[in-house]
Amino acid sequence: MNARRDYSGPFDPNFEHSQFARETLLELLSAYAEYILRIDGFWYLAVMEKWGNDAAFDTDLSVWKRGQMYELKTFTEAFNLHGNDVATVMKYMQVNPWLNLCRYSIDLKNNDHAILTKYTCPTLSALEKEGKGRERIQCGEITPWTFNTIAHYFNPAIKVRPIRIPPRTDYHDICCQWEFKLER
Amino acid sequence: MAQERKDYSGPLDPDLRFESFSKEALVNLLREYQRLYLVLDGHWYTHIKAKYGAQEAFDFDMKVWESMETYEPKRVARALNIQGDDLEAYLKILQTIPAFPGLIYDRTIEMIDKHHARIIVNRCTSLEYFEREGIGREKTICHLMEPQAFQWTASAVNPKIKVTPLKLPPRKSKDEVPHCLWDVRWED
Repeated sequence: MNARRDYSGPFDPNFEHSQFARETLLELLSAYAEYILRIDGFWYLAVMEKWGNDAAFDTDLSVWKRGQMYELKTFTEAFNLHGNDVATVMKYMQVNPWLNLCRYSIDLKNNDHAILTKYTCPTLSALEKEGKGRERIQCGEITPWTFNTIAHYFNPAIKVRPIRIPPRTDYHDICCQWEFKLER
Repeated sequence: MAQERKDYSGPLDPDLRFESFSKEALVNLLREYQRLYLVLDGHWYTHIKAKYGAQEAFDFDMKVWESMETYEPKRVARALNIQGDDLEAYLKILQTIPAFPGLIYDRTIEMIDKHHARIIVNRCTSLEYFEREGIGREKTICHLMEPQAFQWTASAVNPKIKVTPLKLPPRKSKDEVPHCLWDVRWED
């Protein structure tokens, strides 16, 4: 049976995701990643609207202290990721939903040293559009916490250093750039 | 063609593309995305509840899901080229959105005719979580939130689609199936 390219045509009571072609699954994966980003964002905005940004930020951090560990455990198991070097951290970065939404590159200098560069980022675009300067907290505090948590899950000795982070003055510029390094 | 990846063991590929994964690996990944989507919502709910109380958490959850359910059908319809705004289109959307996660829940969607359908949830892991938690959250989520959530999704496709619960938790025993049952009608 040919794989479905989409879900036009009649309703199929025996529908299964595995009937889709690989390209369609990839399309759906992007849609799901967007949903994940959005639901987190909607919660943040709802709390911010009622109790202000400090309350939303505190709650976001508490949520992600649990959420990040769940995500790490789930995706390392699903993709059979094992290791304690920077290369393994980069592999995790490639498969989690968040980077799936960005255009990015990984320059792996060696297995203990990499530079991650984000060229597009829907979160940063939304924050810049909002115009309240929230990218200073999101990119200057939450993202470093997130990247450190991810890196330290694999090896607490890995150092994460922002090379360039928002705010940007030129919207054609890269969104951010990070160094991951393990000194042995 | 290079061999399909079943997972991502082995060395880092700096130019990794999801296209290199097998279909099975991609479906597994979709399942984890569906799960993360619900888990993340659950974490926000739990933290707000602990800090500000159950009513606040519930009110926020309703607000968040109203926004999500309005957005969700459009996005998945675009991804899968689901066209139209009839009951059939709604059912197809319901089969594919992560809020009603077919890769996690065991559910059947029956289209009886162009104006009538049934949704049968034989196993809902969210309900099982609430039952284990033991504080009766299924009474608010399943009775207040879910009917609204189903209706928001349906109305985003077409306000003429009406979703009504026929059977809802709490269950009398852990063997009781279905966990919930819904009637869907096209009302002119």
